[in-house]
Amino acid sequence: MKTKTFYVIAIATSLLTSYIAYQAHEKQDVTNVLLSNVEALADGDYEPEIRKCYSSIHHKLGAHVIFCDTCKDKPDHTDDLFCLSSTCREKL
Amino acid sequence: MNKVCFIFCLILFVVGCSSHNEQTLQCNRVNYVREFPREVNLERTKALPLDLIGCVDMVPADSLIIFKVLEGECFWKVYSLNSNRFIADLLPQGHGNMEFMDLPYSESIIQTDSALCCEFCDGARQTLFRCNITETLKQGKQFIEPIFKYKQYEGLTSVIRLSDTLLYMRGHNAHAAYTRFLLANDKKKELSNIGNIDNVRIKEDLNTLSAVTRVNRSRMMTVEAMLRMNQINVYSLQSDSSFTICVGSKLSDVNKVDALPRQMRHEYYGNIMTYDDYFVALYYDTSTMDYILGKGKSSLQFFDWKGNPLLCIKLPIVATSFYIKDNRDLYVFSSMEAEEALYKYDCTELLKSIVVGS
Repeated sequence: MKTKTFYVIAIATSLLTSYIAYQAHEKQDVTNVLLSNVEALADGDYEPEIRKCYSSIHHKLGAHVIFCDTCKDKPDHTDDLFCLSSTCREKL
Repeated sequence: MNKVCFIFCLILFVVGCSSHNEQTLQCNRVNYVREFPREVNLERTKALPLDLIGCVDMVPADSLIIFKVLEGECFWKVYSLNSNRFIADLLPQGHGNMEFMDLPYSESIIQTDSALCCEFCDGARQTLFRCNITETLKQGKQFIEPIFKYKQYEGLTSVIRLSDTLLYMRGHNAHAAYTRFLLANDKKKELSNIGNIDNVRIKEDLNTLSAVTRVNRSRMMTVEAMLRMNQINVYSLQSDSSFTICVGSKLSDVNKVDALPRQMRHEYYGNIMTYDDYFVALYYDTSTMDYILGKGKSSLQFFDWKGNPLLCIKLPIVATSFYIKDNRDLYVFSSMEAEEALYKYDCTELLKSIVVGS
């Protein structure tokens, strides 16, 4: 009986550990992709075309938003609370 | 059998806890502030008789205050604090030469023996400009000149000149993080003393990491008051000194804040100003919903340059910005009330006590 319980616990623990390791690996992959994009952007090799933007914004010191009309960064502004986000194409 | 079940549950608990992905932002040492040595409540007072309709923020400049206007013919309205009188409209809106398309940002005041100047960023031209306020007001025409083009650096939110050859810059990195660096003789120099604040990245909203940033030139110190987190990051631009101030017992979890639905957001800091002996942060600690409805509260938290709490002034209004003139008068501007207004309080005794004590 004791041996049986031991095996059950061992299998359950190894399954759980494998699952967690898989999750962590997946997260790491996503982070690596994000990081490589960020680095590529910094190097000037990568041009993001579609940006998340807001069409209704207001002044807010320290905040930052992309205004849909111009698709440009707007420092010291933020999105209105009930304004849904949209996308715009970056004008280069 | 019970023993086996207990061990199994323990393993599950330990593994479950370790898989929680908590991330905090910190400049090395964290100084937790549970209370302030002194707390003072200010009563509501009459607003100064200034026409501030449409003003969204103010930039104090010695005995002047520049009010920033979003809509109108000019972006700046200059008032004298000595006479409480309107002096001039500056920075006309438009597409022409020396006209501006967007509200300027990242303003910093520079006072020399002969002139009072305000340097500011123009987003449309991606250029740092200097306005000689003294000459502009004396001669009745704008003395504004471009001093630095930063087109090659994407997404800058702060550009502050520290000397003729040194600039401090802070900007976003592909909308996932903020990074800070110095530009010395056109050479980029990373800041190595700022803990993990350049490395933390978010998934949802860059404003999770947004902060009001000020640089104190005489101390070469930068302070960043976080908008959505209960902390102020303080770091030197010339030494290894850096620390984070957390008002409370635990730093905000960046991932949790980032994942919050928009209606559940919380406002922490709204502004910060630096002075010779201390720096002062405007603190809300209120839900975004209440803040927008003007139902929130605000207070001014004073800290010395080691990060120790000095004083907390509780304000009767939801303030937008403030100014302490000559360690004596406190000016509080609010754009969150029915009408934009500026209030003045005599805080001579209060401020004397913290300057002497610090």
